[in-house]
Amino acid sequence: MTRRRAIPLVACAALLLAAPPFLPPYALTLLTQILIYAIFAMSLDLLLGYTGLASLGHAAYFGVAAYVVAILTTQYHASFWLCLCAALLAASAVAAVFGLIAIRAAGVYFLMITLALGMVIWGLAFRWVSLTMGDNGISGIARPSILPGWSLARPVPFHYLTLFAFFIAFALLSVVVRSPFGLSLRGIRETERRMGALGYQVWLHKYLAFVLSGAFAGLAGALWAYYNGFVSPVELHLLTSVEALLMVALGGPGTLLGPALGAAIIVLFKNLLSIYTKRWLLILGLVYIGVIVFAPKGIVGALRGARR
Amino acid sequence: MTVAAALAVAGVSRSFGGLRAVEKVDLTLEPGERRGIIGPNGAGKTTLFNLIAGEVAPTAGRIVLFGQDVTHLAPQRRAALGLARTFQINTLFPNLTVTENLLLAVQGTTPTKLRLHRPLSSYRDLHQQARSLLGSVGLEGAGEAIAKTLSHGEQRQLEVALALASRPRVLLLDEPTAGLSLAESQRLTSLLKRLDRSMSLLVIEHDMDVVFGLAERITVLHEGKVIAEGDRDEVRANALVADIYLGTG
Repeated sequence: MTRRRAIPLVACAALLLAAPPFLPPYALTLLTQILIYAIFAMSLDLLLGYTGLASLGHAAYFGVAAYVVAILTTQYHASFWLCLCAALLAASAVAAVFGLIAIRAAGVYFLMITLALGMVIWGLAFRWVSLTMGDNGISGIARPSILPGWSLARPVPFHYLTLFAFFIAFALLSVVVRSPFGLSLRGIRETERRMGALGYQVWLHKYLAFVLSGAFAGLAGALWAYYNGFVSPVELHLLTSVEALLMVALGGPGTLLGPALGAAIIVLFKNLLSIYTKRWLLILGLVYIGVIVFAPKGIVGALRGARR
Repeated sequence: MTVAAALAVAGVSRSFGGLRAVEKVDLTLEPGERRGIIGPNGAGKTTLFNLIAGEVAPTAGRIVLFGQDVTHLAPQRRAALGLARTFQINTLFPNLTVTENLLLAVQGTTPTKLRLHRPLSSYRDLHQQARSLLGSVGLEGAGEAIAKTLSHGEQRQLEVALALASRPRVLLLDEPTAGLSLAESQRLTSLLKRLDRSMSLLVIEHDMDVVFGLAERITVLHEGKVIAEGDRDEVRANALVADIYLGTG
């Protein structure tokens, strides 16, 4: 990375590290929410922006991880680390199974299959009442202690946990997209046919990206369960998947900062505009159309294009 | 028993619905051989390439690469055995840089392509190979350009470079000089002539000067069938070829 790009990045990171204790409670809550959704959106971008696979079922991994945390904490009083590991494993496992089915399809068929698979999980959460409490959802998920006696119940410590997870996810995904594997993914996005002729097992690359993407979505989902204290089928709903797609498209597919920025914009819209109008989705729709028309590569894509 | 042929196509057929695109084609390519394939449009030349590369499955017949039956192997498995191809229509990675295009090609037949814990920039050997390919096809200085911004001629050069990256032993070239100016065509032809003789070349080409300049033996396809095979003079002298293809009938 060039120094010119690194400076604003480091400044942003420093601000994120320094600001939380001084923010009013509501602003801090929003910032935590933004970071969780940023992880979620970045995970989807590995598929959408880098591999060129538009998934409409990404909420499945987010929601499954959230439910695993919810069930393990409320019924078994499991520790934070156990919950986190179980949530990541569950999300990866669901992605590993769904990937086997979905990766066989391409383009709009991939979209439809991921949509259908996502709805299956939603239906399960809705109907398997004995496990998930159905429509009522699971409430009373306590904020975790990462070590005995070190509680994250208060907003500021929990925010730092989220921030730490965000940095880890960003760093890991940055390494992946810059690796030979990451280049392979972009090659598949560009010209899949040539990849086979060059010796690539295209299916395997897509599958690994799919599972990896599901695992990071699971990280976001686990944090969300703790953040929200409540998990319901809404987390698994198609709208959650669509929201993530919008975050990526708005911010800039094929960049990692873009989806994070998109997450910030949509979370702020959702929370702030909805105070003033019930029609905030209408405004979001207009913004989205504007971006597609004037900056089809998203906000970050447009900024990079302008600098070149 | 002689040394195994680099490539042997035996009785290969492929139909698309009622159209018999390739019908009972036999073709043997010796190691180091330069073979031209000519034939009018629709003769089945590109379909034959797709069959050899594994993108299309034959309805009958066998394809043997270095003594190994590859009839049912996927394209990437054939690439791993030393087969590479170029496409009639540029099949590049348009939004990536020229260097990234080449890196993709270089790492394609290595296990490196699955490494995800180290940045690509730390793989010096891959970059070294990409740079040397850049030089060998005459694209020095274009490494940072986005592929789609190159001229058609440069894209054709890159198309060939991608196929050379895996150091193939059999190279299929599908109309490498299509759409090039005379000067560009001559430059590319001289590059192809200089390729390592350990590599076998199978070249589809419409430009007779290119074919006769490059290939020692020529196979003529017509309506999916091989109608003639021989050296330049034999093919030139063949009355049937002259009639249906060279247009002097």
